[in-house]
Amino acid sequence: MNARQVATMIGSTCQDLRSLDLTSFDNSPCERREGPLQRVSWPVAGGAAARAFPFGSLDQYLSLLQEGAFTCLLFDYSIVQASYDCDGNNVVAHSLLYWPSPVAVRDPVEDLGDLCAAVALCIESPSKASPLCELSLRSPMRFDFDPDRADDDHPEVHLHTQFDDTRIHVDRPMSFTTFVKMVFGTFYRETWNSCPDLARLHEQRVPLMRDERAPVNHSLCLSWSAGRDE
Amino acid sequence: MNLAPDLDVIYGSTQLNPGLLSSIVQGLQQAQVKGTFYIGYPVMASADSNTTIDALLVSQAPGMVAFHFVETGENYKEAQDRLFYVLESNLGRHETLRQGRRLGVTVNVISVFPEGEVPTPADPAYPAASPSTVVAALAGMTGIGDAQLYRSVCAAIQRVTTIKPHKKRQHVARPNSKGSVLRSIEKEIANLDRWQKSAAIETPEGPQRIRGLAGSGKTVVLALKAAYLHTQHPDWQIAVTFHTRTLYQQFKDLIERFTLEHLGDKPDWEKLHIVHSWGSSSTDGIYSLACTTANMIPTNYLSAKSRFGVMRAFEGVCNELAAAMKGREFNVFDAVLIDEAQDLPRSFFHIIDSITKAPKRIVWAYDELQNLSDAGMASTPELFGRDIQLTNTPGAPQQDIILPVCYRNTPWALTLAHALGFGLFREKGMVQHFDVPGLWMEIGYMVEKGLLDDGEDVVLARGPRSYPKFFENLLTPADAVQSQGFNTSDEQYAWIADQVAKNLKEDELDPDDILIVLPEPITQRNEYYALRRHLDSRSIPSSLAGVTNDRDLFSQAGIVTVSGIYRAKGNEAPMVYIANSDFCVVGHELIRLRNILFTAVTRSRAWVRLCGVGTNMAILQKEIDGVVNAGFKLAFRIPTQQELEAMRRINRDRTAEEKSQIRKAEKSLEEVLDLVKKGIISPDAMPQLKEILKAMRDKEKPS
Repeated sequence: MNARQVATMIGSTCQDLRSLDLTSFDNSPCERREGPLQRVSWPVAGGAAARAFPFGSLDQYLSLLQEGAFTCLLFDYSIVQASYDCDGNNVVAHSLLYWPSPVAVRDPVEDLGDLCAAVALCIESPSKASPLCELSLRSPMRFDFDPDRADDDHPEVHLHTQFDDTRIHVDRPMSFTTFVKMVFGTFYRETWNSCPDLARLHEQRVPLMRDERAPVNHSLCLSWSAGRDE
Repeated sequence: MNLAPDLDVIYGSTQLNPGLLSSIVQGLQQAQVKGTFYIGYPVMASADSNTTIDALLVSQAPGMVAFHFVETGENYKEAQDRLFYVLESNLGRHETLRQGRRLGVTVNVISVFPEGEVPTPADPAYPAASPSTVVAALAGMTGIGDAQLYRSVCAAIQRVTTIKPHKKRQHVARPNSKGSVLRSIEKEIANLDRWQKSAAIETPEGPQRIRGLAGSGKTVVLALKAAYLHTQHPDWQIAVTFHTRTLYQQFKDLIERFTLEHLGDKPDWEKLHIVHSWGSSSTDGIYSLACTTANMIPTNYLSAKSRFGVMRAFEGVCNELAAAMKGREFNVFDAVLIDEAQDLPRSFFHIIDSITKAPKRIVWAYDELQNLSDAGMASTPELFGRDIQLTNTPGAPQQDIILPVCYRNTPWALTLAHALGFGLFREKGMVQHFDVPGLWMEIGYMVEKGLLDDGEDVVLARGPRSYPKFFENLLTPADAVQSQGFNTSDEQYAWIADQVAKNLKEDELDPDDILIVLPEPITQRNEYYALRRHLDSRSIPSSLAGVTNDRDLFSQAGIVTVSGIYRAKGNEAPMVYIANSDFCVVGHELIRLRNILFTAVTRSRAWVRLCGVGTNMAILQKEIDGVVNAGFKLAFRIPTQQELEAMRRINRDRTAEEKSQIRKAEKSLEEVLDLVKKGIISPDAMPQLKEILKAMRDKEKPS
């Protein structure tokens, strides 16, 4: 898959999610040059914003919202971020973040500013914010495909959760559509069951660059792969 | 409006004898000196202290002359040396003013002694004169021959050399591309006009009103004023406030740069406060600061919105606070500068009045036509709830200033914006008009034919000095203003996306040079996604300002900005597409709808494209064609006061109750129409239908 194809895949999946009323806001996929590679992500500088803060803090969540640093916000304001690096026709890295909304907002918000205001209020004083929203803290999950840094302690594809230096072996990289389907299939069972169109979203395969490494010893290992429901 | 005076006199903050100054000003005017005579300005920093120049004449002949008014017992030669070095070292920082290793302009200094006290014999190295001989003594000074150098000197003295960091636009290769045109526009040296100079430097001991067209430099003027006041009075508590959140960064950058030029140092942010009118949970605003001062708990935006509705949220909380503060003086600020005053409720001004120390140095800048709410701009007594008269006294700082020159918009776009905003070419008649017809002249129009009076026919055109010349040199009306009608919304969005792609690929514009405005607030998100489908398919990244990113962000490098009308206010872009312009053509609240159109058109710094769908767009295109075919001249009859009243009644915004009544009536009519079409109701059996038609025909008859 080249960058254009990745951008099209992200754009059309977001459009599908929007038409199913599963997202609140989504951003235009943005392609830009990063050294010799072509990066596809959301339309802000960077693409590594999630890594620049203490992993999983409320401030980090708010900062991502304020910068518009997401691919889409799900209907419950959970963040979904997708960043892919392409070298010609190959995907050579990705970072896919699912951050369950740490704030349960009582009434739907009209724009991101309102959401930011609610989250900021919640951070400042959860009791003051209680008529509007309440804290609902859960750890973000980030699936990275990072073959350049792969070694015996650093799986080529891995999941960060709870801590930034936790890397749980994942069996293979994912397309954006696969990732979104996994998120809904795993964390939103009710939605998944009531919305059969989700399972029908077309997935594309992202191949590994080289032979798969063995999972790291004494570590969890995930086998989230495309076509689980096929 | 006298557009070409020989000598502009700007009254800064000074303790000098007004009679003495007045006699010098008269002498300069009689000698027909052309240029600017600054009093109590500028302030310049040296390594040890700040120096306020008593008076400074900037002209091509006799040149740049600093006046030093000698106090009894003062060593005037030392004072002259000090002035010379501080001026030379400050000006020497500007690359454009240097020739090789030295300053390219001569700094002249003259000492003014009381009559009969001029030292003798004269020392030619240290010019000295009395008030009656000072003008004659200028004859021997060295002038500034080169016009370009003179403009650069003016910019340096006015502190506006760094108004905007220009884009490099290195990728621009074609000499006639739009990118190349923009590069030329951005290279122009910024000089303040005489009205901007007055507005920026003159601060009366009391309120001051600055009215200005969109793009007339109100924000820059207020930023300069804040920096100047802060430099002159470092112990003052000064607040700068505004309505559009995205202005914060603009004010901060400008004030920081201007203060740096004055003081050689950053502002003291403990004294100079840039605060949003409301504030947020993380940052103070005037409202939240005033609440704290009055021992009240500020209401946050989300609660206010649920209590008063989106449109009246701020007004609601301000009304509550103003009522609680009524009759009490809190003396927090020595001066308050308010931008976008047209968007702020009256009770906000009552709050400002309560927290500002006597003599109430409150400065407010506004443009009535950019008002997107239903309340018109109040008069000064209405704003403050007491009798305040604004007067302009010769020889003193002005209290009421109009900025008539529009630097942002091409004269064609501005004329079109006024024509559409007022509905001057509307088949069914004008929508709104100024209360005072003379205002047309004050905002830079000239009368080509007829009379500017109630009930009179008139033909108006932008005056030749009401816009910078580079527009005429670099752009053509046919390219600057275009309109396009479509059968479907999808066709419209596809066309806009094609044009944007062309702008990026062929015209050498950057994505952030482009702004697409969506005028209808309620549908903007869905419309954005419909448009984005076309932008995405052409690999054009976009964002919906404030909706898919934070409300404090407007444009981002590398991304095309799409914006609702409220978010677009206070912002600008070289290329503006207005999608769905037809939304502003027909409706019950035409004043607001037309103001939306005015605001959208005046976002453009060079090119504007009005797009829309269906028959309403065809109606609008007729109006646009009317303006274009008339050569951007506005021919119309000035309404009488009675007609104005009628327009306001018909086109005003409706209350929630009226809106609900209108919705019910529309629904009932639709039901009746449906029944008539189905043959269930015979029109003959319903005499009310004929009555409705008759009443409508009567209403449409010209009065």
